Amino acid sequence: MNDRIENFNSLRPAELAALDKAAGWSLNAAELAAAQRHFRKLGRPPTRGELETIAQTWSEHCKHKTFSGPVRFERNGKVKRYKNLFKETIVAATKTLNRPWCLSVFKDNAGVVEFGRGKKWGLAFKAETHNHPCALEPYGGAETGVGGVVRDILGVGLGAKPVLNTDFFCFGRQDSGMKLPPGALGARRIMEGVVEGVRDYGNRMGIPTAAGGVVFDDGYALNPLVFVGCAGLIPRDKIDKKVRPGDLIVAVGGRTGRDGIHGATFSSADIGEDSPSSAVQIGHAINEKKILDALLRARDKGLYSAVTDCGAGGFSSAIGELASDCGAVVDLEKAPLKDVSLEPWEIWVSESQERMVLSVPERNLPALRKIFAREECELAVLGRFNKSGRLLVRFMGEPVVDLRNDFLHGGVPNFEKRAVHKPVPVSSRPPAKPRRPLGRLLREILAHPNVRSRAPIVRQYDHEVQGGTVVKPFTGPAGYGPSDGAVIWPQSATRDLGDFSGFAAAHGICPSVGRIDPCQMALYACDEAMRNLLCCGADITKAAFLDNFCAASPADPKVLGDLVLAAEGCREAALGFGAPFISGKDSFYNQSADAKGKPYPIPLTLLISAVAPVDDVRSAVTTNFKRAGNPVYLAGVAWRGLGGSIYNELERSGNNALGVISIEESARLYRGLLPAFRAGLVMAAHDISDGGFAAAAAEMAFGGGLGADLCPETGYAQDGISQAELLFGESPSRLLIEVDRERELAFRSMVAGLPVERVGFVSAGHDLTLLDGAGRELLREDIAVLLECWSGEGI
Amino acid sequence: MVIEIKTKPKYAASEDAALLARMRAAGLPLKAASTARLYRIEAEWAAGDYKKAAAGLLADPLTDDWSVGGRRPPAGCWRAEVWLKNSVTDVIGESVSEAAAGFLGVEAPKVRFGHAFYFKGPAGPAAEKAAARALSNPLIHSFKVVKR
Repeated sequence: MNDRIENFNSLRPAELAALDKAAGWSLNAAELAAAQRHFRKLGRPPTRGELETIAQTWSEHCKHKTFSGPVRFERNGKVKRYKNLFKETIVAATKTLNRPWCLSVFKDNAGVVEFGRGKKWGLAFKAETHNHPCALEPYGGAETGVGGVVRDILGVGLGAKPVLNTDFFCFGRQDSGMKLPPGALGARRIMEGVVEGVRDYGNRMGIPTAAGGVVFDDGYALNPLVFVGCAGLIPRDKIDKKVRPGDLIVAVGGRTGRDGIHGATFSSADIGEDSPSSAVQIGHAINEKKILDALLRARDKGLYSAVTDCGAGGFSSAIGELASDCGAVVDLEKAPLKDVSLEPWEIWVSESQERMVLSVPERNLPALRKIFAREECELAVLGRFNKSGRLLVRFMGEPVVDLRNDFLHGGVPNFEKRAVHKPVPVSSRPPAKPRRPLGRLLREILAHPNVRSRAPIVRQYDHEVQGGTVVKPFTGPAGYGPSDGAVIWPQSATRDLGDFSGFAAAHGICPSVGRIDPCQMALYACDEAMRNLLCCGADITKAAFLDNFCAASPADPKVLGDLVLAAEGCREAALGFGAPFISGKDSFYNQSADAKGKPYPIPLTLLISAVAPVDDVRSAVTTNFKRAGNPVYLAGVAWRGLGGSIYNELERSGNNALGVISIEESARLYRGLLPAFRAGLVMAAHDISDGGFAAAAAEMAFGGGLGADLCPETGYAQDGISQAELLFGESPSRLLIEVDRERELAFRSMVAGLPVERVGFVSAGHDLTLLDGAGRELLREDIAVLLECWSGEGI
Repeated sequence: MVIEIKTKPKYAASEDAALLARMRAAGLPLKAASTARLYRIEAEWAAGDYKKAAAGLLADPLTDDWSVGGRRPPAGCWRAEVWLKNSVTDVIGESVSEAAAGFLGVEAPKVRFGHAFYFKGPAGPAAEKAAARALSNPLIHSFKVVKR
């Protein structure tokens, strides 16, 4: 029963590696040696359960060894050393900013910031990835990804009520002719499955899904990225939790099965044909809804002192984490099972979905049982927390795991990793003139997969459930205008219909910029997320960021070098905007062998998710033009450079320079615009990103059902900028703003001294007309025709 | 025993169109396609119980047709079945099992959920391979073709 690996302490490194591969632990040589030293010192061999526990606890997924480890970074012949990359970049920025409204950062399942009138609430926000499972089985992978991040919100503090799900995907191009290796799923198949999974789980749980996006790029053909997020509300006095020695260890929710074994360790390995099917599961949203309902009732009655979710690593991770500051004794035979043939170690590390673990004072158990029974939700007492500093796991009295906390949580060896920066050659020469007519070019840009309408995806989601989605994914009378983010009025959680406090959630992501400069990518992504919040009318002085990094193997110094630069970019952006990071996650080893057997890594990808309060949701702003005759302003400076743009995919401009970004200047601009938003002078606002000025103007027109006559040249721009850069360049920190014509003077005085200038007017016509500085027509396109292109109905 | 639930043709237009589009994208230019839900029930039930469960529990009397015992594809059509492998969690099967026990007042049966697809158009090994690739994932599904 105790399943000891008798010869473990005498195995040579090659034999340890072979054992590791056979068992699927994904431990490296140093980690295997550290484990071997530990058990040699104890004078006994380890059990299978102990090595499984070590592999799970030390996995990249759970320990974030790359980000939290020492790095030697080489750039331009100079060396910079980090003891802990994450702490010295992203966490350092949050510490420096020291915002009093940050209530819980980097220590729980999600970050929590202050929310609402009277500061009675905390807003918890978390985004996760579920990339590896989605590559193998898109529907199940996406479903369980949503289930997992919702449980993170249920498991933050003493439990928050989810009020918003977010989704962001990176898929291979649907029109790609790329030859796939055996066993790999096609891009369309992956997309359909992922969307259906997100839809089915979120809709069934009664959580609105809004604030999302998609990037198509063949770099993701074999390794799709699936970012799922969740925001929830928690009473301020429920944010702190502490396991009390003597409390019972109580598991609630679904039964434990063989499904999901080695999910945590699997995500520390490359995906290949022999990837385990046991890492794939199908979620059960209704079971999770039962947990949600029961848990929040038990929370409000104060029946437990701590809670966490069973995610990667199952009981091993959940109980191991909760007991890390005290100790625990667990009797696995008490766990309700789906399959009685499970080995004890399998029960311990199984990642069966929809389970949570609670620390419950014994006197509260009867009341807790009653609440969970009412929801037909199973509950089992697995053991007790104690002060031993040990994790003792038994099955029918026989030890399965007996490990000291200091070794389990502090014994992982972390060696210095090498990171190098290899700059990409950049050409700043003036772009070649476009071969296509400008009108045709705009139509093609709007039809491009990375600009086109997301309606076929978004319309599958229930974004209205809970009745608090104020700014919806599409805006305007006909619902054609794409929103820059979602604004949520979480009255379903606060139950206060007199409090119109809400929050905006938005994203920023720029992998095409990352191919040129990873640091700029991070700056661009933070800037885009911040701009999107502002365009929703949010109070960006209280914005908070989440970081989600996805990369190929960090064992490649170039990959790690890019990661270092992106992390430094995050630090710079957070400090510049005064916006702390409150939580984050990373996912590595997003690479596979292609059809020829060559490694096929994803491009370094950073998703920035951002939240900020909207003091009164009734004054939230949308992107659609509102009234003919209103002036349209361009805020921000158009810089030269077409690097990373959609334009460059369609035209060979010969220029791959990135538009300049200064976070200080961007922050000054956005803070300067905020009073105009607060005063209600801004009728509509939209960020300029994919497709540039012309695409942003067209999208504002779609939503409003109105035309516009605009002259981008009258806005602020770098000297020598070309027409193509003005119309289609994607230099950051710019937004288009429609201003109430009756209060234009007030607007102008509010933005005096900022790079904000009128570029035209909303028109009652049905055309989008773009003019040059001399008033000559550059293009005139029927909005209905542009809308057809954007909707995917042909160019 | 397998119970099959199929949306009545007059309500199935969008479902069928989506399937046709999916198959076209997979390189299979079909003339027509339709889908059905399958429930494989392992239980010691009387024949009437299966009919009762099909008509009263699993089918919507207004929008669905039902049949018990498997259906042959109509003339000129071929049929594919996709089932979750036994090792894979079957959430719908679990729910139906609980519901059937309550509905019929019997012990919870073992239920597995699947889909049937009816195709009119190109047939043969290449078409079957394309359909398998578009509609199933060998990691979690079994795929089989039923010919007339």
